[in-house]
Amino acid sequence: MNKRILIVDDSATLRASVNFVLTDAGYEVVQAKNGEEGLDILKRLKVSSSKIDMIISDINMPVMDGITFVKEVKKGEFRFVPILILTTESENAKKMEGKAAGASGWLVKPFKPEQLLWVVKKFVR
Amino acid sequence: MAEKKTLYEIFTEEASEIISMLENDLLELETDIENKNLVNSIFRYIHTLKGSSGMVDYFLLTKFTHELENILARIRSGDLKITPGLINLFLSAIDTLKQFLLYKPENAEDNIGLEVRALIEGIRKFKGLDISESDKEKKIPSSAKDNFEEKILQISMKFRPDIFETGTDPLMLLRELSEVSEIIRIKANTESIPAIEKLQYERLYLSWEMLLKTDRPLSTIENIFIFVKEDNTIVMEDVTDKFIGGIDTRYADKMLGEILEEEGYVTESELLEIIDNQKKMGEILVDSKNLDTNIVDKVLESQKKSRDLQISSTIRVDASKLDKLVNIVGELVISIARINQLVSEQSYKNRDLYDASEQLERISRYVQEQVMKVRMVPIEGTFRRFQRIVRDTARELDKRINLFMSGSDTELDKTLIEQIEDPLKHLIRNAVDHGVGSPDERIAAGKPVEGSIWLRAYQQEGKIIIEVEDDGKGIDKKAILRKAGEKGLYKGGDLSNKEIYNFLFLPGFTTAKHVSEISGRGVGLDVVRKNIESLRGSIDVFSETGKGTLFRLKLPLTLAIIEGMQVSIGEEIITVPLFSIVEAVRPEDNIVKTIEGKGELMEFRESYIPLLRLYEIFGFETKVKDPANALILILEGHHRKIGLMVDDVIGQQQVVIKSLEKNYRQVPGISGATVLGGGKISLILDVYGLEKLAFGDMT
Repeated sequence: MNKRILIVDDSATLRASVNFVLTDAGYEVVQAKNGEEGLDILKRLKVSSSKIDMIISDINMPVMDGITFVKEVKKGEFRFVPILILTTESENAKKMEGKAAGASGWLVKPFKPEQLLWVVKKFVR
Repeated sequence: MAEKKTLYEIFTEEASEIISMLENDLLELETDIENKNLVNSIFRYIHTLKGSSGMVDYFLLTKFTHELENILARIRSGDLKITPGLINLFLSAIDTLKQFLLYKPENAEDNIGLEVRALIEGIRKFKGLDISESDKEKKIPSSAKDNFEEKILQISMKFRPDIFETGTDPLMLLRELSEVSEIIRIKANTESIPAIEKLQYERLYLSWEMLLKTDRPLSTIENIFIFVKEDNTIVMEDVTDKFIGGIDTRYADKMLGEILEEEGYVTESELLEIIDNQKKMGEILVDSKNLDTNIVDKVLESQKKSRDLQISSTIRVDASKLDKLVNIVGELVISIARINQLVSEQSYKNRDLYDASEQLERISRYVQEQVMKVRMVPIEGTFRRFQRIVRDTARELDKRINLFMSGSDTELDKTLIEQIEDPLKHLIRNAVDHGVGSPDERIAAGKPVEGSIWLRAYQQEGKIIIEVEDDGKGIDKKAILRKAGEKGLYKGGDLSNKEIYNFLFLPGFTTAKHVSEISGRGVGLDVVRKNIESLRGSIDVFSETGKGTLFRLKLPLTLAIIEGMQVSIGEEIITVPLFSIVEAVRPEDNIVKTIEGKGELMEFRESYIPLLRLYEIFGFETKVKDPANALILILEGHHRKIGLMVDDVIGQQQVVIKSLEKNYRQVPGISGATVLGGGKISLILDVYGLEKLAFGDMT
């Protein structure tokens, strides 16, 4: 069975590129535009007893930002699921904030397909 | 649907959407410049645009949005105020952004490159803004510096127990490590796993230690731990140096059990249990753990190889720290010796206490020995430098000289080595210059054209002996006496060889007909002797005409401690260095004679030697003023034996020398002080200084 990864990002370009790269590599990708949508998807997965193998989330998003989202995930059923946060160089402090909130790692935007795969493979096999 | 579009199409769609929303927000901001929400939203749009452009390799756009983001970040932090000028700048930036979408990334540079650069310049020059390019350069990772040589790393990984909650699985890290390196050995510490009923499945109880070999850059290995290094204990050490030809040199100093434990074949507690049995380690391990004999044999072999190699690995330690340690340990030994003495006086009362105290003293001496060893360095390095000096000096003088060295592995206190280098250098130059004759002279004397100089170091009777010997013409005693006569130092009469050679050590005394560049620089043997004596050493000369000359230095093993004899004068206790004492005598009546102009003399072995009363010299109070009631120590001075009158001998003890100069000031006749067991201070006598003080000698 394919491993399932959730990407949460307000940028359609970013979601699309993550989708392309990961689908190509054999993962199943689920997309959300912000933290709130992300939580909603997780709720539905829980109801259907489906599992999720990894979450990739942007930090700077409208409606619900990435940090809040990570904190919410850590409160629930999926708290052991590794979360990768996406940051930019200018957000070094955010990496640490994300880690403190419970993220497992980070990836700096923009990234190359191989970088994304490298990090994802750190957490999902 | 989006899936059918290319990534770039998705990007332009999203970007034009963002740009139009940006424009709206900006126009609104113009009328409501205090609105923080608007600024945040603008920041987010630019930020998203920057991220997206990077994903489609639109670098010019990434660069441009990065600049915009920087200004916005400053506005958000309140560092920069929104002004109409700033809003105008942003509006023209929006126009440029729209243009970006008209071109493909690969054509953008040609069409709008100039315009974008001009605008970036404009943004940077904007009042109060100073974003230098160098900020960015600093962030470029220095992976280029990594070398690709094979290295051996020792890694210890200890994770927080709730690591699983952070979504990280250590197993993943181990797998990753095995992909980029060869794991030589790995050990999981299982000791902290609790009993099964207390086991929490969500927690991690293991930690790992491993040794791995890789030719990847260090950063590759470091990157594996990139997400866990902050809140877990990951220690990585490059131990390549410790391995020679695949042999772990650290095995040499380790016990078999220790190695097996490190490699994870046995646990520490198993080991301790077995050690209690005190059988032969290998056998016990094989029996009790069903440990494969092959493993034990393999480890034993590695251990043996390592020991064979015995390359001492080094740690740099500040010398002053060692000095402190040596001092403290010295004090410890002395205090323990004192306790032992007190206990032994009552040994009949408590035999067990006496035995324990004896044992304690033995151990403390052993500790001291080991601590002293830490300071010891082989003299090899210094000797090797002399090889060069001999070669160069001989060449300058057109001589042919071979230097033979022995005992270069003799170990000396580091301070001593440093301080004898100059005196030794002088002696060696002397040997080359004055000792070994010119080829002509040598041929005339029937000697091989090539001269020889021997440099030897060895330990004898608790002292370090260093000799410099040459096979030259020997010391010309007549020339010395002539010169001494000219200087008014010799007024005729028979002198022993020793007395004659002593002239050589007087300041400004040289018999060389010519003052050469090599040894006649005004630094004479007098300085050599002074230096050696300041190290509580001595120098002797032996020479045979036509055969050669030998200079022998005797040095203490260490500078920090001396064997001393404690003597009393009234209330005072003085420590006399044991190496200066020839013997102690209880004089009979009438052995002391007073001679006009020469002071007091005493009879000793059918000759007369000067008698010094220590209480007079230092002005101590004592009731013992009659030599017949006193004790006289016979001391070996430079020029003579001296009788030193003291009240009585208290005992013999090792003492740690404390410099008076450092704590007070230099006192003639005193080389330092020491604290005795009971807390009393005892001055340490400087015999050569005393001689100088009493007789006004030139040396």
